[in-house]
Amino acid sequence: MLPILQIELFKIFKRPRTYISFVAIGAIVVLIQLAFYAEGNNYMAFGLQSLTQSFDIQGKVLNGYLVCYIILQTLLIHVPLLIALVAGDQIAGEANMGTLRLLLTKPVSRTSLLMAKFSASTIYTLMLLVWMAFLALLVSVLIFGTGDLMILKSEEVVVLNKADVLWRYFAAFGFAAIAMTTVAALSFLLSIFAENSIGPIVSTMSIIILFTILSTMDIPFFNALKPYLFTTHMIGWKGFFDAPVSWSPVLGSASILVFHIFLFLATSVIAFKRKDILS
Amino acid sequence: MEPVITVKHLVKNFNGLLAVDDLSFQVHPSDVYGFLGQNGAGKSTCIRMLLSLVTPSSGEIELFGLNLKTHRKEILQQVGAVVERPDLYKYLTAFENLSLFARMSGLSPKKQLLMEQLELVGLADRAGSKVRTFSQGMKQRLGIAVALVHNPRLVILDEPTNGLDPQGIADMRNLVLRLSREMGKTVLVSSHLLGEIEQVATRMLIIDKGKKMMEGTVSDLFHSTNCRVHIKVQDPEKTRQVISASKWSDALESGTDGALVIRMDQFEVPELSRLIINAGIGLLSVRPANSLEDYFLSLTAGKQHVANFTN
Amino acid sequence: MKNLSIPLFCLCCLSFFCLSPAQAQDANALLAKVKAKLQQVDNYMAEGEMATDVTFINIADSKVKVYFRQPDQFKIVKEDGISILPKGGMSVGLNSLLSGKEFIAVPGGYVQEGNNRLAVLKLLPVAENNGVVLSTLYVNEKDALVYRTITTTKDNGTYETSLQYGKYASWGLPDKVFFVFNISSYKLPKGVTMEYEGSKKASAAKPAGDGKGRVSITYSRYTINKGLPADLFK
Repeated sequence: MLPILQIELFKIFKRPRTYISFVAIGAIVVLIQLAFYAEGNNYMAFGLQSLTQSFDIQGKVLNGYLVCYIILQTLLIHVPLLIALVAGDQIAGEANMGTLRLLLTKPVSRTSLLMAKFSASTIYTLMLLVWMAFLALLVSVLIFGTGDLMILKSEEVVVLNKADVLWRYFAAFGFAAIAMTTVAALSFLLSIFAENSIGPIVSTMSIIILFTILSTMDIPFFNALKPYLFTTHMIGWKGFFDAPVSWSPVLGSASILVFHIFLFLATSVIAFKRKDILS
Repeated sequence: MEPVITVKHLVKNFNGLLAVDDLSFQVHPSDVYGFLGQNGAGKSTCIRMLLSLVTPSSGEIELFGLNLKTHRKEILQQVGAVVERPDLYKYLTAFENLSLFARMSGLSPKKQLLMEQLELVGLADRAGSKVRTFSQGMKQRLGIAVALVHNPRLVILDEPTNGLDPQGIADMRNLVLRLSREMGKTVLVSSHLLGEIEQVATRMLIIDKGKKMMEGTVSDLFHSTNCRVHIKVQDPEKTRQVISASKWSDALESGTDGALVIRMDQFEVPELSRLIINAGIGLLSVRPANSLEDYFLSLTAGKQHVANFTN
Repeated sequence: MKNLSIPLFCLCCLSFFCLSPAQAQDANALLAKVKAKLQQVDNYMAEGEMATDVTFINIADSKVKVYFRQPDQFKIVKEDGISILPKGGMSVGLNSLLSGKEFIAVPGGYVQEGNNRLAVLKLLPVAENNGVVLSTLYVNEKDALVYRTITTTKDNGTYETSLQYGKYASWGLPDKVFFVFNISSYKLPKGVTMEYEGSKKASAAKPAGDGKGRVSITYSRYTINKGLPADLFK
């Protein structure tokens, strides 16, 4: 499978659209950093209003760790689009170009081809996250320095010791990798059924946006649904910023996501093996 | 010799639409096998089944004596194909495309070998150009290079002349002949135009609505009893009377420009000529109009019943 | 000043507490004694460990540095980190509460706390613009050490401070300060915070608070009257 994986990676990284994602993430991250660099104190005053009414907060609240957290919170909603852009193109894009039929007349089993393509999408996803980690964490720390991380949650304010933060980011990026691979797997599955890549990209985003709205709204009927929506678990990386980390829900969420990856992938393989290539 | 392709009772049903209906045929080594049928006759579906792109509803396919279902990988290693349009990765260069598909076929090709392949199809000077800049003919040639790069025993070309200019069509014809005569490959070539096939094919199969209409060697088909003879004479009216009085009275069809068309066995032509000359009519020309074109058209138009010619 | 205050004290005592002038005199003297003890310290820098117990604030105990300079400059700093203190957290330091401010002391009797018999002093600020409305001190008359204060402020509610003394008792500086204050509730919409369901379960497991927050500082070392840079309190 390794040579096919190399070929798939070669194809992904030869396409201009692949780099759109890296540029987009770079632009968003730098913009957020710039905004905080210029207006950070005003943002902080606004954001901390609920707390400063009765408390004096001293120390450098606005630091690299906080900026990274804000970037992650903002960006991890948009990154699925960038992942769908490549993962949703894997099969549908080839069908649209007409190369799928040529590819499948080569002495390679459909399952290995699918696995190679999925692995390539996953590698792309991971590279995107590493790029994001580099910009959001390393560059933010270089600009704003390190410090204690203060996180405002709906019912709690958590302040994490400076020395206790970095490992949480590594864990969070690890979790985000699982969450984003789930998005890649979903997009990949939808890609099997389409003849051009717009369909799977739009469908992936629609599913994620719809589920995220359901996950976020605090309405009793939707609350009952929440545990069954994979988007609920996608923000599990935030669990690493609890003190102490409540491992069982975080690991539970991670295993639900891994289960989804296998489910989407298995369905992809079954559907693809039975598919008549008519494109 | 063991047949290269054996197809038995092949059926493909797309949700109630019968695309291929009980099709059986064999392709032998070094054949140039013409696969004829109008657009939508089921040629492409059949070729896709031979390449395992489409799963048959029933029936069996064997290539090189191996079952396609169970030996897909071994079989595809020895098959090169261009299915419909020769679509390639537009954002990659010709060389990159060729190298990529060679590796997909399990080769680790040297640059020189790939360049030789490009040379063969006349694209060596454009090796570094992106495919998006290529004309239809160049894409077709690159598609052929991709199909041949792993030196397959069987080459399947689905409508290879579609979208080509006359020169491209001629080049393609020469290439098919070279593949067969010089390189000893078995070639299956499909077309909806008989004219293309009859010039290169050694055997052919005509299908319509997924069904086999006829199959045989091209010489068989030319020497069939069911060919038509165009005669030009000095006195068409008298000739018509003479023929009407002969055993060919029922076979006489109306011709144009004073020509007469008679449906008859080709071997009866000398007898007919004698009859006309003996009647004192000046015979200008006798042309056997059994170029399969007429036959093909009449078959696919459903005017004639199924005839099966076999060796 | 003492003489001037006597009639006023009498009035206060009669009208509010119906206590004898003799005790009033003692209260005033005791306040002066307390103040005098605190006056020994012009400035200090202390190292200690701060623990915060507020239901909705999850912050680890941390090492802090506490700075004070006469008359009322006071600052708690977590080196290179974030500290969250109740507004008016000044009152954590007794020095800053009393130093440089004029109070009228009213005696409030005695209470027994453990082995200590503590005199109760009610302090009324003289200045109109003082943030403090009323402050109650529980003072040991023998060593003039304040063991407990209850302060009601105009803007930030009522605070209660308990102090424990040790090595630095002679300077009037506590080894441990325990600070109790009222807290308002805290809540942000989930749509804004993008809450993770898993951590909601974790925080729900916490017992509900009694509406009060607690901060304690355990001092390990004081550096007294060694001077502090002026820009520290900016």
